[in-house]
Amino acid sequence: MSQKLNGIDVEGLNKMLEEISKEKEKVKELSVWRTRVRWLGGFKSRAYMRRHALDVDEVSDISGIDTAQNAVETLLASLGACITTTFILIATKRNIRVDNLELAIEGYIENILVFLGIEKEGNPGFNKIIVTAYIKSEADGKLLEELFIEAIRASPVFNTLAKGSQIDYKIKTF
Amino acid sequence: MGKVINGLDIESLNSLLDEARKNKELVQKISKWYARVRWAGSGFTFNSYVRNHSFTISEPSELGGPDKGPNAVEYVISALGACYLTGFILNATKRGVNIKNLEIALEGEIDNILVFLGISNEGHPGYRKVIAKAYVEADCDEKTLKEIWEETVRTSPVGNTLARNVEIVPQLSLIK
Repeated sequence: MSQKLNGIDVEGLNKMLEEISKEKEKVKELSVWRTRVRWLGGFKSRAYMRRHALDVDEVSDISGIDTAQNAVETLLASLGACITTTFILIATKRNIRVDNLELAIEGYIENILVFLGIEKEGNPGFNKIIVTAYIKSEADGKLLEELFIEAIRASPVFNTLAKGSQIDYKIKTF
Repeated sequence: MGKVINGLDIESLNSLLDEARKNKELVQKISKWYARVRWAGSGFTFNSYVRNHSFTISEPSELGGPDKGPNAVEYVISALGACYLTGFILNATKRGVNIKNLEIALEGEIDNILVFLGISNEGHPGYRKVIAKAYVEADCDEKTLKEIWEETVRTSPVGNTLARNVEIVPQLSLIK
């Protein structure tokens, strides 16, 4: 076992990156992600991703029973998690030890009344999201800033939200 | 407790909608959402905290992680599916339509995953396309269900966030 940095086997990480860059099949496999979301009654649902599951519910202000975070909160958390993942990946590749890392995310819905069917105008989605990273590391502050910007640029979820994705939708009735 | 459809109390749902029409403070409250994500201190494992809820984010072994939970891109399409599902139930319940069964299957295609891995600079590492399929069983004509689905997609907070460009403001705070 080679040396570990940030809990990651650096040699293994580099080997993995080398292999992925050569294998087209692997790249294809890592480019498609799936989930199924099942209704559990009321506003409660459960998402199934490979061998994992996640519950989503709605807050009592929106008639839910708040047994889990709601969909927009899940979205913000996934943005934060993606930037965090990308930051750890980039720091480890550059041989930089990270001592502590937390991201706080805050999102503003433009017009929630469109979601509730009360108004027709405006966007029921987030039009602004603020991400604040709290990083503890002995590395130079300017370098950490560069890594943070690089992590944002390479983050899949950041790019999905910032660039916009095409969504195709279908319904099958029984 | 009044009449219940789809597990939702119609009276309280209607009074919530009434309240949202006139109570600006409530509207403000349900327009702002927060999450915190902490690195667990070793490798690709992270915990998110949302009010008093929490879940774990990780990476599969193919991406060098211990697979202690779904990864961030899996959570994004799950958030989209959950949002469509919430909207579908809301819009069906408002019309008095009983839903027996509802499942949404989603598949997202990343434009260029190699940008995330730092191997390529071409394209972008986000989803270029997401396919969402709703499977619904209800005692109601197909036309109405299609209308409910169209309305749901059009008014979905997560759907609109993903389909439009969102302004994201990154800030960095270094801890000494």
